Amino acid sequence: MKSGSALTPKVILELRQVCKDFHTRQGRLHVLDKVSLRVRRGDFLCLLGPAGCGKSTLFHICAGLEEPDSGQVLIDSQPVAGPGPDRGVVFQDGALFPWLTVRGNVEFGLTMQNVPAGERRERCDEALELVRLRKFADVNIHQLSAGMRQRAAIARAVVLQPKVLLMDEPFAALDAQTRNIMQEELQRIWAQTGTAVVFVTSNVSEAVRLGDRVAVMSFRPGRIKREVPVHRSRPRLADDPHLMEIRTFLVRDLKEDAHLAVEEELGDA
Amino acid sequence: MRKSHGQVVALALGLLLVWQALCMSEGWPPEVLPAPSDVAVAAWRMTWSGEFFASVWMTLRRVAAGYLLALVAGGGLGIALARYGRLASVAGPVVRGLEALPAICWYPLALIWFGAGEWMLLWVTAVGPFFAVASATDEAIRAIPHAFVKAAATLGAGGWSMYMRVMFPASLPRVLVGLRVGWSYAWRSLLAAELLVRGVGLGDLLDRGGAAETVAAMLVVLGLGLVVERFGFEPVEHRVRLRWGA
Repeated sequence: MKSGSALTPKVILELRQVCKDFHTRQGRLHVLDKVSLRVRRGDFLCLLGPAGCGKSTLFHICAGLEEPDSGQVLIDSQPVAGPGPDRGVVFQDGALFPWLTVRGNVEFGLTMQNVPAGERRERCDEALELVRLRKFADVNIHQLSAGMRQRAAIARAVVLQPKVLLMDEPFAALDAQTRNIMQEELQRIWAQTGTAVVFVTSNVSEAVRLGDRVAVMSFRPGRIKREVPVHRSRPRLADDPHLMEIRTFLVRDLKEDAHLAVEEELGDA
Repeated sequence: MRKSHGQVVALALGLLLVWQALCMSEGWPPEVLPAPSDVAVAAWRMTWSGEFFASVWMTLRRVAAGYLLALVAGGGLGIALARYGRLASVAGPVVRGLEALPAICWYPLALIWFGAGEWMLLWVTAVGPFFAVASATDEAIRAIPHAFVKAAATLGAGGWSMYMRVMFPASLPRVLVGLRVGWSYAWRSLLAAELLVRGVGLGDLLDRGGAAETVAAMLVVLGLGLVVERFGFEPVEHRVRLRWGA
């Protein structure tokens, strides 16, 4: 045991100077510029930025679905080579498989690891219990509401007991009420599992409510321009006045980048 | 849907009665339009002579062979087209173009190549579904949402398991449409080709005796087609629709 390890938990996910360019007809786009991040065990990090700032690319690089041009991604000090079960991934639309039931989806990753059927079933039941979908184990995906789909997607990721849970705007497509409930639920699930979470969002209120830290990204080149800690006990309410203060600061901070992003999108040639 | 079954049967019986009445009104000689009773007599005779069974068996064997061959070869070509972009950009339009050609148009050429035998019939039967299944498989694989493949990769799927547990089920609804279209191509072109060559087969049976025998054979062709649709494709498509929610 190294000294101080009890005070500062171990680093689970580390990005070192990650760079990524995209080549388009207009030329080279500098999407990510020397992005460095550290996520420790039990952390809840929100990655906040305007649309098109590269946060989705960064997410894909963390998940191992894309490779950086330069720089390193380390999981438990080991370099990442492709996707792996040490990182649970939840996509915006859930990306559940419609040809499988809820149980089939949650057990999919376990099947890939050749976990025997009995243990698979047990672990699946536990995960479904955690997201409160136990009763819906044998239901087809299209019969679930949007919120329930995201619960199932979370169960499918956490059942593999990942070291870090990567979530790419998972609640962006939900209506306001469902989104609010899912934010509460995610805080509960995070507290129960203790898994580190990297949560990508373009919604300031969501970032402030969920994160221990909010890493703010700038628009082109995508950089982490600051990290804002959020010291507030949980569960946090959406209308907490302290959170509102941080929110106001972040909205102002993001404004210029958001304008740049919109102008780029509208393409003033 | 189910409730209308009785009405469909009633309509069919009604048409049958009108048909019989027309024939009995003397305006229609039986060589031109045989009465249902004549057809029933012909069918009875052809059943007992063994002609029906021999023809049905022969035709079903041919259509099964041609269709299965087309599934394997067309499915393989479809997967290759989806997998290799360079191949698809050259061969894709050719495949879709040849699908537009009615398969019976191959008959004269197949006759020159293979003579008036089983190989010619196999070619004419298989060529239609081959192109239909190839282009449907290609399109189905391309239409798979990228999110499924990404999600599966993060869950540990890759290589063979990605093909069998993700790509195959994800493309199934669209592939089924191609299978159904391919089946109708195979069935239609085989019967047309059988009509053109002498020998055992339902197509040949259509043109062997008088008008009553022709109508009896038509009813058998119709019945077989309905059975394949009703008990082959419909239940599978129904189950897939229920599951996938499409």
